[in-house]
Amino acid sequence: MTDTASRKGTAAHHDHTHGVEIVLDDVVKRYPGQVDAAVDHVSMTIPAGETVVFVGPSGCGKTTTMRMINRLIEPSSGRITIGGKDALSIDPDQLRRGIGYSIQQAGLFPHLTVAKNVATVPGLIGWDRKHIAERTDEMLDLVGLDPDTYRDRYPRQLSGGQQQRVGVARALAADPPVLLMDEPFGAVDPITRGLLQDELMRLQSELGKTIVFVTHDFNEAVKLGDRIAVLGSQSHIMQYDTPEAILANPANDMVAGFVGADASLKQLTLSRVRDVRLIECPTAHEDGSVDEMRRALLARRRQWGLILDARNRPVRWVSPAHLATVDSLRDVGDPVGEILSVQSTLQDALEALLAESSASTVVTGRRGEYVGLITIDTLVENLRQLRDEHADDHDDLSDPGPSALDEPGGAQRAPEELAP
Amino acid sequence: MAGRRKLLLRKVAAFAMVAATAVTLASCGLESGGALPLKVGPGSITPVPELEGVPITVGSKDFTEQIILGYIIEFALSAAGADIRDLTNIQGSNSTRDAQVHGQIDLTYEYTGTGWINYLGHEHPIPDPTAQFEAVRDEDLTRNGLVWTDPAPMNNTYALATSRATAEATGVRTLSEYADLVKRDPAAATTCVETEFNVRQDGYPGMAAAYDFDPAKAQKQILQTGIIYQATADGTQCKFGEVFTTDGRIIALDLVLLDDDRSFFPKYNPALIMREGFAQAHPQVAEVMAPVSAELTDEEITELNRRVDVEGKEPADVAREWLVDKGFVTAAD
Amino acid sequence: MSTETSPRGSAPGAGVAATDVAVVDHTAAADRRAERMRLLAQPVLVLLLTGGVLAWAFSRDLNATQQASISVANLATLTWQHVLITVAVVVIVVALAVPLGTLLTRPGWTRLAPVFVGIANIGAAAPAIGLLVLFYLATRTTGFWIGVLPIAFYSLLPVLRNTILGYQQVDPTLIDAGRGQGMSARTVLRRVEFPMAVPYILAGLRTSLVLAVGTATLCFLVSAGGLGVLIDTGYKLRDNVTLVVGAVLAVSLALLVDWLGALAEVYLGPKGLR
Repeated sequence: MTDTASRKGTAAHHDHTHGVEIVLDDVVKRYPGQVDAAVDHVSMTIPAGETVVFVGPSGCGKTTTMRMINRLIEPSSGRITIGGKDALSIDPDQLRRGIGYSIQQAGLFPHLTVAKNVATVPGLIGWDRKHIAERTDEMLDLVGLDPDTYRDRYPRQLSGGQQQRVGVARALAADPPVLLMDEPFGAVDPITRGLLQDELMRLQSELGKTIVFVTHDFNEAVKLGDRIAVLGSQSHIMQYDTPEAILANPANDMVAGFVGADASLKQLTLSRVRDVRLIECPTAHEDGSVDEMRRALLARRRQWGLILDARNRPVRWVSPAHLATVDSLRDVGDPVGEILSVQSTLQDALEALLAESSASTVVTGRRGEYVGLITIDTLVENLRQLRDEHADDHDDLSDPGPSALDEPGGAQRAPEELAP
Repeated sequence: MAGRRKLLLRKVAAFAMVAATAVTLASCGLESGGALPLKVGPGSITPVPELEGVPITVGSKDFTEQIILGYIIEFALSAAGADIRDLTNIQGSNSTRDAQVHGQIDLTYEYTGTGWINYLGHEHPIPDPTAQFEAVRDEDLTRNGLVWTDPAPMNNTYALATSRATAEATGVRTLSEYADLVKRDPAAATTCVETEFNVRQDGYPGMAAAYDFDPAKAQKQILQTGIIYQATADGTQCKFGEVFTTDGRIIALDLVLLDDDRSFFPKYNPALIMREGFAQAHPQVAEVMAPVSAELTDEEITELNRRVDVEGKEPADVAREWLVDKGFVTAAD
Repeated sequence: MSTETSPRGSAPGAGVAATDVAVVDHTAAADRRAERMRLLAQPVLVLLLTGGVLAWAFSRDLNATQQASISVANLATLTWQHVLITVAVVVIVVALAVPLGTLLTRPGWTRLAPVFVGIANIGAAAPAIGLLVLFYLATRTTGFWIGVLPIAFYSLLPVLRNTILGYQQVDPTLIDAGRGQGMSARTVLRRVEFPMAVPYILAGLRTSLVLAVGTATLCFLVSAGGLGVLIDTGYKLRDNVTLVVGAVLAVSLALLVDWLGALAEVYLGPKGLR
């Protein structure tokens, strides 16, 4: 049984869960003079410690919904609780100091140094100077900027990507349990964006905060989100589910449109090699017996075996043909080409298989040691399984929310059950 | 060939004329003299045959009294039959003198003190008005070929004034008494002056020297000329103020002029001034104007100034009215 | 901010972006160098002008009238009066215009902005001499404040308009970022908006200062003293020496004040914005 949910940060896989649950209960935002509400009766639960991505077309209200969580926009009606506490009853400024806020263009104050920028919220809360200084350095380090180099620089001296990192550091400085991010990586080039996304995922795996992330880029949503809320006009929830579920079975045409035509390929990014069943093949060390190998190949009717080195790392492929005339396994066979690790995504696996034009590719473990083989059949099987799992997702039309069926490894999730 | 040359010559002549006119006008900055704004008929001044149709350009400086005096000349000589061009209200301090010297104007009333100090460059005035007039007349004639004649009794000179209330409270009526007050109690003798008077040797410093007090001890304030009158009348910050003796506001604000008992301030009697050539060609001008000048006393001119500055009447109207009142002319329209 | 590295399609990433930043920085650095040189040259010019005119004046044969005006004591007094008037005007202008400009950019108050800018416009358009005389007539007093207050009204517009402008050009996303992090509106004003408006305010102040020095030459008309006394005396007496001394000293003072304003702009503005 494969565990498709284990690829990235659900609560169970953080070092600690620091985030809290956010509940939106029938939230409405209506602007004066407009017939239609901007946000029309939205209810959802954002589980603690998860990254939930709001995705949708421009103007659908996703940013408005997110900004109601920290009350930069006040809801017209409805309830919002954060960590069980009613957000609408707390003083808004106080509330916001406990919520990290990261926006496009970073919004760094240009007249303050990087350090002063990062120290904004701790300063507002009233930490002492030493604590702030330590925390500032820690945050800069956390986002990959050397404190000594960047502490006293001004934002205009940084590149766009660096500014965004500082923005994230600033949002995290006071260690808030909740982080709101409004298209934070939208304004940088694609390579930097990819790096920043990886950074965020790494941070999230360490910190376990509840992140609400708004984007119009579905690929970004798939990469980052534990759950994705696809929002339509007036912020109506079209589908609110894990990326696998959405990719496997989009709820309606609009969602399908968002997902795009390459849903299957996208799905392959969601699983890792370690999640799927690997195939064994005969292995031997260089000083092993040629006869044994010949017999193993014959017995298992395998075309190929692997020669491993002293550390069990795969070195060469051997076939019966190779073994026909030799006495020792030294220097026999073809060198191993592509190597996958257990961490690699299934899309990397597909790439490797295509590159080598072979039926299978070797998979290694954390220290490079042989673990097994992966074949194209495994990939196809994986996709079929996903599709089967989510085939019934939309039969119960009264609630498009996540259910226990989504994750076979449901027992490993956070103790709080999500409402059906 | 000849036709084209004639055309060219004509063009050149026209251009030269325009250029010359422009240059002339530009050089003196004056518009060509305008016609008289009002008409007069004879009164005690009867038409003089020798002046019939004689073009006379009359000028004046740019303050009220001078403009009134200018119009007085113009209406008087107009009744005598001359063809008057009006160039009163010439802007700038020395412009009238320049205009006279260069022939843009023929006639104006100039002040003896101004002639003596500003034009002839003497530092010390002559206290006696007649002696001052004669000295100026003689020297300007010899040095510059200008004729002074028909001095008027009025004397538009500097003076210190005070409000009626202050005069009664302090009992100061003369400059000597003022000097005593300054020495005794400077705070009770705050004086408002304008910039020029403050430093001129024929102004406050000279006056202080003549009246034996230290100008530095006096509490002075520098104000704009116009503001001084009102401020002195109010009597709060300015107990005393520098005024011109014939200013209309003295009557209007009920100011009291302090008597220059030591005769320090120069005499500024207006007299007619003309170039020697003009004077010799038209001696009748001086004859016609003599009785007019004689009527110009301090009281008369101060009242005329008041009518213009305080009541807002036109200087030409006021000038003609006065001449009519005195019987010199009659109003003709 | 990140304008130098805004997405330009296929920019290869941080390395090139940093170079772009370097290019923009270089031009800005060249500008700053030019400004620095001007900062050094201007006070020298002031010294030359002042020293030159004083040397010229005192080396001449001055008659008694001129000596009354051109004496060390008198020049010092008048200059000091002029400085005092200028300082008083500037203090009043800043105390009025900066809070007013701040208020008029707060949500809910912006509709009043044109009203007050209009009033300040009247002050600036009306001839200063008219304002002085009108103020005297209204109060029937003379003296220092009768000179200072009308001039302050006259010089109000640049600072008021620049204060408003300074606040208006603050990027709204910064205010959003500030509020989003839990700053109260007042804190955002104090720590984000005001520091970012300061360079504009200082620029307006510099203009105002120079205006004030110039129009303060009229303050003598209401007994507030100042270098205008020399100018008026010289003009009335046709005394070019006094006139030139007064005018050149006034110009030098204006240049000096402009230089101080430039220093303020450079050193009082937030470092990150230079």
